[in-house]
Amino acid sequence: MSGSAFELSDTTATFILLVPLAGAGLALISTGLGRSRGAAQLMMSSLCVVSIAALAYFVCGFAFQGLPDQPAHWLTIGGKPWSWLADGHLFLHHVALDGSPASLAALLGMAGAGLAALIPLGAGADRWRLGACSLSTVVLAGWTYPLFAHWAWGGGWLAQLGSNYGLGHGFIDSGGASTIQAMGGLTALAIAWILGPRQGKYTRDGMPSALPGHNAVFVLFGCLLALAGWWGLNSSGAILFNSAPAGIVVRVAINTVLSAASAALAAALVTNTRFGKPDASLTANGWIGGLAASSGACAFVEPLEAALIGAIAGILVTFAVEWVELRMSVDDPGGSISAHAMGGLWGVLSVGIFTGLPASGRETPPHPGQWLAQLVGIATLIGFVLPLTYCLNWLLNRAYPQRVSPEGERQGLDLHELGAGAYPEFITHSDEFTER
Amino acid sequence: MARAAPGCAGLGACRMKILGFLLLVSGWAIVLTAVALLTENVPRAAFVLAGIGVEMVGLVLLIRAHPVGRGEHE
Repeated sequence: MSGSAFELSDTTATFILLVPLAGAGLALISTGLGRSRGAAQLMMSSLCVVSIAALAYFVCGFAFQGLPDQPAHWLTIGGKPWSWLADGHLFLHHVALDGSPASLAALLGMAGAGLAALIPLGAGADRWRLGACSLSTVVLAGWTYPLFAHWAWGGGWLAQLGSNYGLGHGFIDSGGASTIQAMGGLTALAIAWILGPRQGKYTRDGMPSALPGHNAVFVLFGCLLALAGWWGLNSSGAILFNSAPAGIVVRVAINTVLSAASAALAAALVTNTRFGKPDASLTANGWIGGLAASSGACAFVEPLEAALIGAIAGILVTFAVEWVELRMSVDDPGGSISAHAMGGLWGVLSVGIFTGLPASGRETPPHPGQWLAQLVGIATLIGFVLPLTYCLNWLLNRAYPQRVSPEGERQGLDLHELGAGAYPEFITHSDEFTER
Repeated sequence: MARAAPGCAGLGACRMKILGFLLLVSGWAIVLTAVALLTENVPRAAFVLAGIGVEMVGLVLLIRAHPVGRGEHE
């Protein structure tokens, strides 16, 4: 291996190793925004989901995702080849685990599958059974995630839109705004629909009640932890899937933090203007929405554009949280649908909008068809991925009910599923409050 | 007498849900067809936007088909 190639793989591997921090951050955010009586179950679910995602991706996920220029299943439509599924080997057979691009893509894919699988946990908090979310993760990490990741990252038909149909450079997603964020967010929507709202969330006439999260410190610390993970995700994605040089990591890191920062500040400003005080949970959702949006174009835009992308994401997420709860009557305690689906879809679209501007500093000139390629990707997420993930989880629900029993929900998932609570010292003893 | 399928709050909601999913997939099919068959940029963009519009209608139907309740357990 040449010196520069080794240096590149070394840099990429280092950044991929940061990605689990994003998972830790998301787990803390979901737990903090849920109730205290389900905190241990939610953290346990996070651990199980990451473990199962890694195994499912190892067994068949990478075989379905593949890499560009590797064997794949093709359809010929109108004389053009459409690659729809990779034809790789199960159990990572024939992948040299030595820092080769294939091995690094497998490592990033494994981490990305775990991250995507963590996102729906926030939407299903306080009512999603441990066994059910584990089964749902098998479907996500073993099938839906690799399928779309092949289309976007593995040389599939979305990536080929440029060479086949002249749509810009084909569908571009630098750090997983579509493959990880939108995929996880849309799965969260399907899960929230299937599970229904928590007991007491909506009154008989459909008005939502406030069920505040139990630990704002977890939530805000999770946001800071997630930033480090996103640096890894966006940097390694840009190098691996966009053939960017190792030096791109500086631009990516600056753009990522600017996007998250402006999103959080925009969310804080909006909530302060509307409610008189900044809302911590909505600001946290704004931060995550900014991170999710940054994943699309972080390698291609100027810092000012990244800040603008983030600010728009922060405003979008703040209003989306309210819209999802009030208009859609969907109970999403962790704000996963708004932050990840809305942030991710906006990130995908921002590639088409902002990389066409003269200030974007791309080495290759912008192409007018790029925004169309991005729109085709968005249409695929909404028109194919959402129905697919809903149907698969609906079938799972028929075979193995996903929602905990009403008694279990009243008792709390910690005691019901694990037999012990996260905070045993929270039990109040009457003698502590007796006047002495 | 027709009955709602398992997982649907009522027959109307069930039909609306199925129609919503059909519209989502149909919108996607319009987008794919536009990309594959049209070569001019303007009609291609118009059909892609029309396909996304159909998807949005499907999404609205899906939202309306999921009333406040206990999800698929009802």
